[in-house]
Amino acid sequence: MAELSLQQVERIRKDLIRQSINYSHLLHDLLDHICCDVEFEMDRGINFEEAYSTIRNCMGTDRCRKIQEETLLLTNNTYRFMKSIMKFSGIISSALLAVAALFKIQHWAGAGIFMSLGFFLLSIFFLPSAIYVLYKENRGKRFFLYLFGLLSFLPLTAGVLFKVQHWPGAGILITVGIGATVVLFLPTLLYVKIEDSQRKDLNPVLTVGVLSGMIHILGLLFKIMHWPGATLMIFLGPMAFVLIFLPWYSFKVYKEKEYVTFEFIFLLVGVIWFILTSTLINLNIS
Amino acid sequence: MISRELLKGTLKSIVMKLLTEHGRMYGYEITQKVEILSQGKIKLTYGALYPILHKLENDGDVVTDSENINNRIRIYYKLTKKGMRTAEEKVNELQTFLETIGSIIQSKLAFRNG
Repeated sequence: MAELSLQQVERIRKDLIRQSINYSHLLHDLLDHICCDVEFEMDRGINFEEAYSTIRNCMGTDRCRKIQEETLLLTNNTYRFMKSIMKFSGIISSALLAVAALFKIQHWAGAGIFMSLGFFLLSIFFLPSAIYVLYKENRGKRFFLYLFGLLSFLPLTAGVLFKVQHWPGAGILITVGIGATVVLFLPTLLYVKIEDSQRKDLNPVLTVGVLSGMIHILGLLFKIMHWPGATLMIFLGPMAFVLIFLPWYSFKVYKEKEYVTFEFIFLLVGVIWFILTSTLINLNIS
Repeated sequence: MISRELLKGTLKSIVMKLLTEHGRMYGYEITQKVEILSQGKIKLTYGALYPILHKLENDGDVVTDSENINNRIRIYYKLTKKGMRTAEEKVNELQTFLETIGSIIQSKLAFRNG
C-alpha cells in the first residue's frame, strides 16, 4: 500500500486551503479522503503526480468549495437564510438600478425613486448578508479581498446615486470608493493572486496588470473631480494594460496551450470593452 | 449504477446503518464499504457524503475523534446514543419505504401479467 510523504500531503493541503476550505474539520476529512484516493491510484503503479492529477480531474475544479457550501447550507440555518437574502436583494437591487438607468437615459419620471430603492436594498440587505456569507465561506486573505471589494463598491454606487440626484457629497463618496479600490482592493487582489499563483514567473506580469488598472481608475477619479493629469492617466493605464500586460500575459500563459481557450476569448472581449468604455467616458467628459 | 436522484433520500439511512454495524468509521472507509456492499452499483461521492456526516454531527447523532495517520489527520465518526435511536428509526423507515415501493412495483407487474 502506497503512503504519501509529508511534502505530498502538504501539496494537497495547500490546494485545499487555496479553495478556502475552513468549515469545522472538513479540511481534514477532504485531505484524508483525497490522500486515500491518490494512494489507491498509486497502488496501480503510477507516480504521485499522475495519480493526483487523475483524482483532481475526476473531482473537477472548485469541487471542494461546493462541498463546503452544501455542508454549510445543510448545517447552518443562518447561513441558509443569509444566502437567500443575498441572492434576492442582489437580483432585485440590480434590476432596480438597471431600470433607473433606463428611466434616466429616456428622461422618464421616477428614475430617482428606482435608484434610491435599489441602493437602499443594496446597502441594507445585500451588503450585510454578502459579508456574512463571504465570511463563512472564506477566511483570511480571501475574505478581506471580498470585504474590501464590497466596501469600495458601496460608496462608489452611493456616489453615483448622489451625483445623479444632485445631492451634496457625491464627490466625497466617489473619492472614497475609488480611493478604497486603489488603496485596499487592488493591492489585496494582487497579494492574493501572487500568493495563490503556482507560477512565480507570472508575478511581475500580474503586478503590471494591477498597476495599470490602478492608474486607469485613478485617472477616472481625477477626471470626475476635474483634477489635473486625468487625461494622461486615462491614456497611460489602458496603454500599459494593452501594450505590456496583455501581450506578456498571453505569451506566458497561452503559449503552452494547443488550442484557444474560453478564458482567452473572455480576456480579449473584456479588454475591448474596457478600452471602449474608458475612451468613450474620456471623450464624453472632455 | 443507481441514479443520484433515487439515492438522495436514502444516503443518510445508509451511512447510519453502516455506522451502527461497524462502530467508528472514516469518510473514505464509508465510501469503500458502500461500493463493496452494493457491488459497485452505488458510488458515494465526496459531495454527497461529507455534508451528511457534518449534518449528523451538528444534530448530535454522531461524534468525531481524530488520529494522526500517514502525515495527516483522520477523522472518525461514531454514533451517539441519540444517533443509534435515529439510525434505528431511519432504517425502519427505509425498510417500510422499500417494501411499499416493492408492493407497488409487484402489483403493477401482476396487473400486466394477469
